[in-house]
Amino acid sequence: MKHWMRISLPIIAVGTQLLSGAAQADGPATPISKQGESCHLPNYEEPLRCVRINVPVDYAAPAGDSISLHVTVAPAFRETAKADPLFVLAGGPGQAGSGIVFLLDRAFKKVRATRDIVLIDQRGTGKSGKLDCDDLRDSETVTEAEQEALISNCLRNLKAPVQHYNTANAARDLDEVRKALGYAEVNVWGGSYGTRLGQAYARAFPDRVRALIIDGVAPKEQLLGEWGADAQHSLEAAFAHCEQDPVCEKTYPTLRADFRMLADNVEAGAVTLSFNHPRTAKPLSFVLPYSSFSETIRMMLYSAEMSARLPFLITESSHGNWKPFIAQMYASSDWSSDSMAIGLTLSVVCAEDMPRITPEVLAAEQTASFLHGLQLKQWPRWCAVLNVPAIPYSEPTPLATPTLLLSGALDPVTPPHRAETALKSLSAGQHLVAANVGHGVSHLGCGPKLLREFLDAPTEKIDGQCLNDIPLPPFVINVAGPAP
Amino acid sequence: MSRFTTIWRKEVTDTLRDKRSLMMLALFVFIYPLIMWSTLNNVISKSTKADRETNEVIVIGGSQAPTLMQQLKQQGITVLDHDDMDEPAITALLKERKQAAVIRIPESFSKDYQDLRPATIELWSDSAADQRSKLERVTQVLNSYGISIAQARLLAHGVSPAVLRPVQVQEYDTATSASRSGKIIGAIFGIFFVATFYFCLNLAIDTTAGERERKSLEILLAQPVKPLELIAGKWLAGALICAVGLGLELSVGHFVLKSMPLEEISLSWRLGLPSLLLLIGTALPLCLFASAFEIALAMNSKSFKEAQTAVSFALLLPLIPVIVVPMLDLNTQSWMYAIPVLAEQTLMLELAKGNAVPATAFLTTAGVSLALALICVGFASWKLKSEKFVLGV
Repeated sequence: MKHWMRISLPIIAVGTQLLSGAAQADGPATPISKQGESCHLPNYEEPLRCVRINVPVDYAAPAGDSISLHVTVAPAFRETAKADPLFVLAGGPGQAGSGIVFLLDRAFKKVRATRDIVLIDQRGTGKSGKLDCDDLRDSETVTEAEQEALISNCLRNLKAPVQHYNTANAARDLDEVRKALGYAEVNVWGGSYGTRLGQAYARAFPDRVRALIIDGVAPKEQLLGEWGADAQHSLEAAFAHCEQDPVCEKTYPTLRADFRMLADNVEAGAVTLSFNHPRTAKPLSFVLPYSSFSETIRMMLYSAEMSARLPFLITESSHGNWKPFIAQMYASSDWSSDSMAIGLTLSVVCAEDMPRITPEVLAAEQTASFLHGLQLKQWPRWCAVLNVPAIPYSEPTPLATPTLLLSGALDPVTPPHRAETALKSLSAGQHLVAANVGHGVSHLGCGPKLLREFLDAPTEKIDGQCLNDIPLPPFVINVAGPAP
Repeated sequence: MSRFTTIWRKEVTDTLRDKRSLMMLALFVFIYPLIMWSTLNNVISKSTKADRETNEVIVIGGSQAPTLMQQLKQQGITVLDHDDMDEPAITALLKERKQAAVIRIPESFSKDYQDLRPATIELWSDSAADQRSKLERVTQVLNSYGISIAQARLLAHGVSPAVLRPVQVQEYDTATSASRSGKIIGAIFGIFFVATFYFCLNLAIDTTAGERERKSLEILLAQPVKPLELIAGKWLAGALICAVGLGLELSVGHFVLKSMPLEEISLSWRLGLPSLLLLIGTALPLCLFASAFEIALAMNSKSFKEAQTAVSFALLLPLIPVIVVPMLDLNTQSWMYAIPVLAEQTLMLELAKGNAVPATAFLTTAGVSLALALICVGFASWKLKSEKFVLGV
């Protein structure tokens, strides 16, 4: 259900200026409903078309090894579909297009009336040779040090040439997909990290992208892992909302103080949890690591519905009842959903972001928020194992593609000011903000309708007022749940 | 052969002079596509207006569940608050069919909710009213409302919400949207072929039973013309009128479907112009059959009146396969191509789905109709040989 929001960690792509290959000769295309083969994917009832497309691992050596990309096509409902489909790019990096097919109904149903929807498994994700660490999901009982070792070990054993798994090559792949399917130009929807990839593709092949929709915008300037200030801001907003709500304010009058106390206790290593596992009921006991504490809080901020549970969780924990917090901590690993391809997450981050992290950024991140620079501490160690060469950064070039930017005001990773930064180099961009929404707007309220409206006339102005009609979910005030 | 052509030309000219016959032709060419257009248009405009569509529910005691009210509104459902009503009042209200449902939240709701006991919400609806899709949306909201509360409660108890789902049923539907819409549109289109039997109705009765009653048949027979030539002339005149009617009707229907934004209701009309022409061509023998069948029936009747009765009764026959077969929900089988009307309907359905249709299907469809037409013509000309018949004794 909310997998997409839960696991979309936006990571910032360093879109190196790509050489636009002149793709002139587009042969007559086989109708999309005849390409590939009919297939069913989890979380979607109807048959789709699954197509495999081979692309070179290294574009500098096109005759060398190739990767087989998995592409899922949902043909338009209209037989004579519009010639320009919608390419859908998932987040992460590490999330697969085939893992977010449920968005077909939730976000793209109106668009699909007239356009094919093409979901792409970026190289290294999903069914496109996932760079995965299988045993991580069952690692709930191991210590932090053991988990570190597990990941390092897994990264060491990755067979793929990870230096070629980056945003620039993923963008080139997109154009190969476009060519193989026979489209002259495409529209692109990107969510979270997909916004970085989408912008990189549009910059590399401006003639091929008719319109761009980026939801939860990560501008090229943004560094993955440097998100403390945004997360802190999102947390403060959740607290402020509680204070403005008479019932929440009355129920949790000392919320901020309770949170500080908890954070201090956890950081001091003073919290030992003894509990039964929320899913398996297995008895467990360990000292709660600060990283687990802060990451659980951060993940909850992704969606407004989960944020509404925060005051209850914090207050219960401060009274010594950690059960609700523990259940929340394990919540994402409880579902057998397709996990992030952590190998790809790191191959992108280590080449594009980590080289840009200066000691100043690191120092600022340590003090910017309750996160205490979590990922920026972990990742360099893993990057050392992965050992991919750094990709030089260049400032974003101006882009004239009509672009719709969507932001949730409560987003802890890509809040509206990130989209405003991106807007500086997008001359035909319009930015819509949903007041009561976290990470990801397209599937909420009037979002699906706006997507269709924009794609039908990308240069027209869109009225996004209706996004503010999405209400703030009610706070959980006691064990009975939110106000009915 | 020229005698046969003369008769044929005479009958066609007669029909073209007859305003009533032409009106009937025009009526059937346009009326059904029009009915189809307005029906589909209605469905489409309803679905595209889904955001504004008036899906109203009456809520009693809504103040006890403000979050539920919010969620209903988010799904485009208008909430109308109402004071408490008794059962007859609710029944009477639902009879008016303005609202899909009445949601009654009893006073015990708040306490049960806070006590974590199952809190009752009453959902009143009238299943005799055609409000199913609206009602479904309401129940969907109620269900997801319940599930999100259950998840919040389990988490509060320190239990994973995953325990609510010991088994995850992943439904997979093998029908593409194309094959689904093919079924619906195929049924709609089947009725087109029923009209075939109406196009030549006037001509068939008038040139046989009518002429006999007006005694003009006697004069015709007094000419040096064989009964077979006479019947063939009348038969082919009827078939021509029918073919023109059917061709026009299918073309009008085709362009109506092509121009409609069917994708808004997740349907599509996938027939191209070459397929349409092929279909019309294959359906032409059906015209031959319709004309011959009606002439044979009319010849078999004692009077003009009786002929009218017999033929209008026979008009019900082609409706049977069109109505009954979709009800049986059968897969396409080759025997279907051997039954006139059903054959054409099946053919169209398969073409609309974008399936490859074997050449034998086209041949069977055309062949069976043609064979039946010849049998009817044979019967009619044998009848005409009998003096008893011509003199109407």
